[in-house]
Amino acid sequence: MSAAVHPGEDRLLDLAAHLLAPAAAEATVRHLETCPPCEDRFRELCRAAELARLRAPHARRRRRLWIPAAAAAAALLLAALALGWWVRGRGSDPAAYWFPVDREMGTLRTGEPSAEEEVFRRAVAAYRDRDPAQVVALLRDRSIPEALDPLKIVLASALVKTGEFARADAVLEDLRIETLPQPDRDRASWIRYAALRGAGRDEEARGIARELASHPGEFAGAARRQVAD
Amino acid sequence: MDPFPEPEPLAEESSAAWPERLRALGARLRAPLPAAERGAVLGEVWVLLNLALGQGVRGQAYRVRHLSADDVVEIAAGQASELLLRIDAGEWGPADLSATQLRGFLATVARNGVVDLYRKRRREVSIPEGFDVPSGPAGEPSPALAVDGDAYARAIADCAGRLSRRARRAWYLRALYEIRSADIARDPGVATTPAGVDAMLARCREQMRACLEGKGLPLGPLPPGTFVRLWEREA
Repeated sequence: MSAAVHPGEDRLLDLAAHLLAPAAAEATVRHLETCPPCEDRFRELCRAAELARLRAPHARRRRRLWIPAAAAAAALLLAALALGWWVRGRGSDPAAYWFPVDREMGTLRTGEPSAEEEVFRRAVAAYRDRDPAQVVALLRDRSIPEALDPLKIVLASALVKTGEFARADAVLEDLRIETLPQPDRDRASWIRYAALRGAGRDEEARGIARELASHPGEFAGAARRQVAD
Repeated sequence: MDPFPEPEPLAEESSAAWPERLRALGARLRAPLPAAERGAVLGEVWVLLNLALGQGVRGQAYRVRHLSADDVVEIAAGQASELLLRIDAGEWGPADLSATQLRGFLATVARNGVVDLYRKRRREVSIPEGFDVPSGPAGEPSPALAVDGDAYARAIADCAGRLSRRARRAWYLRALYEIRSADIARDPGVATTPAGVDAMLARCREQMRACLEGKGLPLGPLPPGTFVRLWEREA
């Protein structure tokens, strides 16, 4: 394609959809590098393609079907794990761990609650009642202020329990566990360990277990057993 | 005079690949497929329908005042959603038509979407004169504009390479496409809340700024030629 011949809509659409033959794609890209108006048109097309992928209705529909199935599977798994916990008589299963909320959520129990604080209160109550699906429903798309960072740990824990391991890991990554004070740092690390194990990222999980096992603390023993398994 | 005469088919280069690709995907959907494969095919059909309908909507934009880039995306998505439902239900398929017929059909569907918007807006509010179909990002000239696009693209790719995969994906979606946090949060490679995206992007901006400044480059709007080079690297 010569620099003077501008690509038409079809050519740009084909390029954005990766449908052009390599030589044609190469020539079109070289043109776009030197033609700002054409590059802007192409960028708009690529943006539309990205938005379409992000908003795909069938993907959302599949996910809606998947969540109850995963939640049911997670519930069965948790039941099995809980049974194992009782059989072994020792709580070393990371997915069965419940973050202690009575102490951590003291700031939610003072003053007149706003509508948003009321949601946070309900989430804490749901977590205390061992209802992780309700916790996730309440907090999933909500912005949690920094002052309530422990609530993000609660959300991550609930996500682990509902089988949304990648999202749990994402919540904890955003929290920057390494900046948390103890004992929350170890507790959040233990939940992240469970999330990574659930996501099949065993090597990263093992690294966290090794770190927890390397210093005295609430999870040192359990982490050592996980490393040894 | 009818402000919305029947559109020309999405006419242009006869060698366009997308109509044939849509027809081929439609033909695959006629046969029973494993769920994952069917989902992948429907996903590609969805994206192509959005792009093709967006093309048709832009072709009609001159008939409607104030059609923004987001209007184009919204109209195309609305029409594509209805078509996808019909395809999924087996009521219609792109393979039912020839490539030329498919282009004409999609042009008409796009036109109908523009007409619906036109009527809705006419009921809601009187619209000032003037067209508003942005052709690309505008604003103050960037200090980065003086930089060679190739050098800037290499610097950005290098700095973005130091971000985690999740953060890089989120940053690209925002910096290259100006996509809002609620949409970025849905990306399977990002998988977080909108607030999580905001926090991640704030950290990314700081890291990118520091990294680019270390190379003597400012963090600002992309100089010409940068976007397509980055797209080529990521493709």
